[in-house]
Amino acid sequence: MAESKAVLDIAHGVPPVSVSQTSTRVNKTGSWKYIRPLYRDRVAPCNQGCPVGIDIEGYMNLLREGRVDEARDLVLRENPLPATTGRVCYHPCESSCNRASFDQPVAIHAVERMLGDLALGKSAAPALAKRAETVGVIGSGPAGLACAYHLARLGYGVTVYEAEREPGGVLRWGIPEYRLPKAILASEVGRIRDLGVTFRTSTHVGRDVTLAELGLHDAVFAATGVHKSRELGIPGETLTGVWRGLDLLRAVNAGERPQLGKRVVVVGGGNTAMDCARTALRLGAEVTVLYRRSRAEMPANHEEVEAALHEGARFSFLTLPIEVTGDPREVDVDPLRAIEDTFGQFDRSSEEPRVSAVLCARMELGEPDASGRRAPRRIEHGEFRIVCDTVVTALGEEAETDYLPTELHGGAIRVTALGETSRTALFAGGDLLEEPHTVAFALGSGKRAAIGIDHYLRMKAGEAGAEVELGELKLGPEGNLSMTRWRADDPVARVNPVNEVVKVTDLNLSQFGHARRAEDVLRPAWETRHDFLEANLGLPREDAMAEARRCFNCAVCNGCEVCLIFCPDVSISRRDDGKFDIAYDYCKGCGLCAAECPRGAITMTREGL
Amino acid sequence: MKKVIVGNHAVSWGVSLARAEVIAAYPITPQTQIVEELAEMCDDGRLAAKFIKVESEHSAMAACIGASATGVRAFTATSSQGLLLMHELLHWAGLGRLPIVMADINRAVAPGWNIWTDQNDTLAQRDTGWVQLYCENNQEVLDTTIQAFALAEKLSLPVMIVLDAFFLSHTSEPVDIPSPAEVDAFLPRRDAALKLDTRDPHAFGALTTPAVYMEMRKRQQEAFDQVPETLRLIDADWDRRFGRSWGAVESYRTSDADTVLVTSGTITSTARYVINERRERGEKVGLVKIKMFRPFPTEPLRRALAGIPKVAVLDRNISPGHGGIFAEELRSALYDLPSARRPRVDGYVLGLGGRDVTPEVIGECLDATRGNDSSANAREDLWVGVKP
Amino acid sequence: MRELRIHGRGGQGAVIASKLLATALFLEGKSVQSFPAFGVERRGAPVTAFLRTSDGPILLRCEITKPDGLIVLDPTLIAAVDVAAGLKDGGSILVNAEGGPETFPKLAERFRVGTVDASAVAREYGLGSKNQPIVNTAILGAFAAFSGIVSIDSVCRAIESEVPFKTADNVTAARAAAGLLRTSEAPALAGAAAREVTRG
Repeated sequence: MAESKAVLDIAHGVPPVSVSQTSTRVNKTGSWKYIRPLYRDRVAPCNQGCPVGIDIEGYMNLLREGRVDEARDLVLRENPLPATTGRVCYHPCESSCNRASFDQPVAIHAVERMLGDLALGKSAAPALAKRAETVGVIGSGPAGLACAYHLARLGYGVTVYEAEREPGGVLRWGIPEYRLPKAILASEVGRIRDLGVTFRTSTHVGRDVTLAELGLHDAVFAATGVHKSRELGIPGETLTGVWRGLDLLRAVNAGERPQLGKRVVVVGGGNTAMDCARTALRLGAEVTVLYRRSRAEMPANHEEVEAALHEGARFSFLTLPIEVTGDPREVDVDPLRAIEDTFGQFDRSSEEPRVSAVLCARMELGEPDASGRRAPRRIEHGEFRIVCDTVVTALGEEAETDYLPTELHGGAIRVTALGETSRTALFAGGDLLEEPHTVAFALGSGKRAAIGIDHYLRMKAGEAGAEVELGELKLGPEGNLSMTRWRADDPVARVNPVNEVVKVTDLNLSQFGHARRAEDVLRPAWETRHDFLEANLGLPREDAMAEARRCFNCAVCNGCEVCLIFCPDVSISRRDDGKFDIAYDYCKGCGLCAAECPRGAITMTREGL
Repeated sequence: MKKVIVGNHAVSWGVSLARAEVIAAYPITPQTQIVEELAEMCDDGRLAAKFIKVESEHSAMAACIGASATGVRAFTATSSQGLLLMHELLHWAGLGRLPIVMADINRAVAPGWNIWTDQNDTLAQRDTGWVQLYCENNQEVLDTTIQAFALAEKLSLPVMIVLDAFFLSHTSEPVDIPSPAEVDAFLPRRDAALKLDTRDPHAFGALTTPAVYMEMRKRQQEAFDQVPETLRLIDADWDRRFGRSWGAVESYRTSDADTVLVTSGTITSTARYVINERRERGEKVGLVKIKMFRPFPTEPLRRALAGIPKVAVLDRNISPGHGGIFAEELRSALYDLPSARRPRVDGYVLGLGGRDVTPEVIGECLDATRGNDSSANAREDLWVGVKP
Repeated sequence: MRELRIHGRGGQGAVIASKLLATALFLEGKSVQSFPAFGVERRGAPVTAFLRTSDGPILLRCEITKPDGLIVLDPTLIAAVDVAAGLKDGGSILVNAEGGPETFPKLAERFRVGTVDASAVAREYGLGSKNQPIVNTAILGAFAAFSGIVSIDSVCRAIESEVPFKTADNVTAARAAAGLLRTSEAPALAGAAAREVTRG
């Protein structure tokens, strides 16, 4: 076939096909450009939206590549309790997911739950170097646990003081078993214990030990949460049969199964109210939830409300209790009750009158109030009565701060961006702060305080300056602080990172196909309402892995090669590390790569800048 | 190894023995078992080729163009409307001088929808710069498929192998399949003189000004001029190795003939039967088969037909407003023969849309031409077997 | 040259039968050509397939309209379509049927008729399903015995080379069916013509 070369030999005469005689390399078209593309990793909105401050996009990308262990470790850098948050967090990350405006947000919580379950029994990376200082943490709820975990990983000796007999705070004593099995929590707390954290349980700071005695530590983090249920402030509140919501949840979480009678009224529209309603259902009661506004204004998480409805709770909206009555004439005399009386199953030892009904007022919605929700107003002559055996109040909780210095009493505690109170070396977090009372915010505040304490102690030891570049530590301008950034040991290679959040309009959605969001496997309500076993079973592993592949990987180059395919000047080439090089000598600055990049990881910049 | 196989699979076997490296196809009607078998061969590892499933025939040819430009051996197969959809890119392959090989199952074009044989789909691609080779039986199909790659790569021209729908595509008959080693010796790996190479980048198919476009066209024409001789050498080499040759034009029992049929495709085979019958009766008739339509084998046809008084061309195609396409091209090829040696050329249009061309139909054409002693060419081609 | 037509229903294997028979004849050194009816195929609808065989080369490349013999895979087709259309007088018909040739008196008047219960044989060897047995290999075994133009051994060798699934069962079925053939006497006048080479 030697002659075949001669047929198309361009060295002699006119070329037989339209092919350039010289290499196109001589034509340095790069000189034409006035803007140039730059690979620039930005921040995915989920990362900013996560109050804990987890690199969600990062672990989704690792999962897409099948690097499951690395994904798990990436979560553990920021979140000490992924198996817990995967179950109980109300996932604000999903509300910020860019995929929401394409089809449905990625089910991040389910993916995190899978990673959390894979992490059970696995230890977190220990500190590289031990430090001499010790820190006392008051309270072992999510904020305390997070602070202790991060400080231990930074090398500090940490002692956690917990008033209850087991650590966990609201996770152990507030959240019901059917949402968060105690064994899961115990395993995750065990991982923190394995880092060398000491737990002094049954030690109430203020009663068993004073704050002053904690002065032996170099810093203290207070995260005692909120325990005091707000009162109804109406007649009859002290009658036998009126429960405070937290007390009910605590009793059940302690293994008790209180007799609530046949009819239970729960007052309130928040998550505690939903927990109380679903717990009462499981104790065999018929449950009616009273809420003074309408469904739309309920502060409870949508999924919790749905679950309560499915399990059979009734809701009476626009209903305000005005009196709890114990009038014996109104006691519901039903045959079952008589039998229970006969056999002594019903506790009647008390001579005090027992709850027999709630007198309620019908409400209507008026103008929006300070919270932006429409304020409820009483309708005249709209009173009515709900017959019941038990009333559970869940109107919100307040903190008990008597053990703290007096200047910190009364209302939420104000702290700096790094969790420090007005008192030097005293940091605070969790529900003591003016923040949404959620597990995720608590975990985030614990991490912030750990960074704050680390900075304070290093500064004291002369190892750090007074200033901290907070903007550099946040995941996006609005996000929580990143422990990885604080430690400056990111395992993910970032390309020219900038702390900007990518909007859905920055993405090229035409590169994505629609795919249905994976829905958690839910046990049927007719089954769950009779037991305390976990009601939501999460996603099977393959489904969770598939869900991770739904992630757009907003803002971060994941090596998809769309830029390489679209570059009309063949100026983009792939490097061995999976990232790309741009031959600026030939790139004309047409911007196709940036326009076609599915995830907004390429930015066009002014030439010469 | 001899096997009883359909014509479609004769193509597949040929492509597989030629070790095509990229096969692109659009898997929908009018697609054939050719790529079905090739897809299976790629899947089970019998053929180490990249099979690219595309979204249209246009894209199939585009993929072949891209692949061929990088120096690999590319193949596709299609039929009727699918081929028509490729039209734009057929030019690109032709002027790009890319040695792509394609098999087309000759099927009538729609409407009305018709999957039966007819040559209009391929003849409509006459001027796209593709060599066209029409086959008569399944053995020729397999041999031609392999030869096509040799021819294509020798001259940097794309080659189209054409076979009649059903009469070859779906008809099983014994085919001698050569061994891979024998074919490897005949057809080495492609050695592309010019190819897309990111290490030595050149612009391909870029703006070509009036100053050089014509020269580029001329070089294409010169390459086509070399096809007859190149194909003859390839066919001779094949004959030495495998004992079979096919030729661009074949004369059959023409030496003393007063009337000669000119045919292509499977009609040729049935026509041979008719010629044999007539010869037994003492009639001086013969046959010329045109296998190669592009480049048109002007010289071989002049040699084959000079001095024969009457020629009947059987066209399974029609150029509306003109006539049977082989007849017209043949008249043009014979035009400058001395008038004494120039045959009268009668054209017959038949078998369109798969209508059966039986020995009786062919006999009618032969009789009409033999029985007509006029010296002038007929002004119009005759439509055979058409209902009033 | 002999020309045969095979009648079946889509899915019964008529086209494969023509291919198998072509292969068997090819193995005996004959020229062969087989093809389906040209057109679209639908499961359950009547289908036909064709075969040419000759000692010399086969040049004809047109349809077969006047076959020398027929193979009918499904007896219900005899009522549904004019299976004998174009069949030369004195030609032969092999039918897959439970009854003997006498159950087809009309056909027996003009043609040599053979029957074999290929469905029962196919069921016995688990070919196809109970309700839709695949009878093509069984009936080809009977065809070898019926026609005398191909040996049962060649039919079996063709099955071995072309049938990738249940090969042994198909071979056994073909041999079994060959032994179950029932034939009518050929009509007196046309007997010789049936075997005459008519073309080529």
